[in-house]
Amino acid sequence: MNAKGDVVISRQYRGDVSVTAAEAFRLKIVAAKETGELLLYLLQLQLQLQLILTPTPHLSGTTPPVANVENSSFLYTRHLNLYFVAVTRSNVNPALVFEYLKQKVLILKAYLGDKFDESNIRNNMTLLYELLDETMDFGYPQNCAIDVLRLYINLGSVKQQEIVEPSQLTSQITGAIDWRREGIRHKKNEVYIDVLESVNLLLSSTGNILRNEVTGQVMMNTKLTGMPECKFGLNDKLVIDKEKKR
Amino acid sequence: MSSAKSGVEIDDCTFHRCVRLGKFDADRTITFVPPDGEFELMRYRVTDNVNLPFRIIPNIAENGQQRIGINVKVAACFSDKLFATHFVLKIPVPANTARAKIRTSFGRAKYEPEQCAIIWRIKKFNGKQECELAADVELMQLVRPKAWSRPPISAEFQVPMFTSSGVHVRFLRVYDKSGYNTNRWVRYITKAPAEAYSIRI
Repeated sequence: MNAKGDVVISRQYRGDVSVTAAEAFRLKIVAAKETGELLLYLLQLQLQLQLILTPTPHLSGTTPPVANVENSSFLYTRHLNLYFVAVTRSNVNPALVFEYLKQKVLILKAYLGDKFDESNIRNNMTLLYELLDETMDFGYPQNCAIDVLRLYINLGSVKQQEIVEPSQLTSQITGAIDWRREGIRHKKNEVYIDVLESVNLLLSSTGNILRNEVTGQVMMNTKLTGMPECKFGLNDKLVIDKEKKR
Repeated sequence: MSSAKSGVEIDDCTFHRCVRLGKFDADRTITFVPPDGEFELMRYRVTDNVNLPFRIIPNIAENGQQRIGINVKVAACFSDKLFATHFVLKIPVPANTARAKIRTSFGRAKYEPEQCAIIWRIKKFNGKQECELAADVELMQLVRPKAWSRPPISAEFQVPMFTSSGVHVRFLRVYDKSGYNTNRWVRYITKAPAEAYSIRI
């Protein structure tokens, strides 16, 4: 949708939400916010149960990312001045929907560049529909890994990718490992491991510890051939999730 | 890193989706087929037995309404084979500070009015080293005297090859059909981001 509420692109996965839903969304959400362009994805799921969400009053210009309008739930996120909206009439897991929308934005960034806008989308309609069909089927998210999508959606700017054999393709789609391509080769097999920690401390004036916490991250850079199986070991005596163990 | 030998308790952790969670739940081993290139394998949080890299002992005395005496001792608690870089200690002073006479045993310190603080910078802080800063702060007379809020002192630093939690990588085994050898490099770094490592005065 643009500022006046035109849908830029939409894809219906189930036929139970009417197209006029966009209109309802425009009236309730876009009108409530400052004007912006709206991109609608109608991910239409079956009506089972409504999401029980009473539309909360707009607190100082912020609206909740979920809204219930005319028996349909609208879950949306924003990229620049485009809205990505998922519409459903069933009781879906909102975390799933938001994760999908987030992945979608990441995928489009990978295909169209970091700052894609409405005109990029309008110029790449075929690509967009292919991506929509590949990542979602009958309202269920499918393959959202950019690297794997690139293997068989070669429209647009990622055309330079080499053509893959069909046999490899099937294994990619059906296989459980969608984050790694087969047939990766490296001359040197190397792994870089970075353990990054951040300390957080607050002492009182008398020297008592009020807060003391370390957050850590293990970053890896792997340059390995084939489909290696890795086993990673930290300290000898390591208790993870002490609450769970009790 | 003497503590690496003792146990480490991780309060909670999350993994990259390539890690087999079923296997982890069953026997606590972390196994996975990695993506190619850079990724975040795991994230964790530790709150017990944290090795604090620096001990900071402030001593602030307000002498009347016009003078503050500041004395801060900083000791690096990690091994003398290691060193910290970009150590910055921020010692707040009142907004009506006129001037500050500062003496340090190491590094450079100066009063920065825009931050309302004395900023003490040490480029390389060796393990087991102790440094001291003493400052006499003179305040301007205010028409309406106001009590100073005494914001906390905070330190910012990086300690390479040190982990506050005591976590260390014991092994990474790579198995592939072709049976090649893998070179591994492990780096550690502990950071205290701005305002995260603080002591109330």
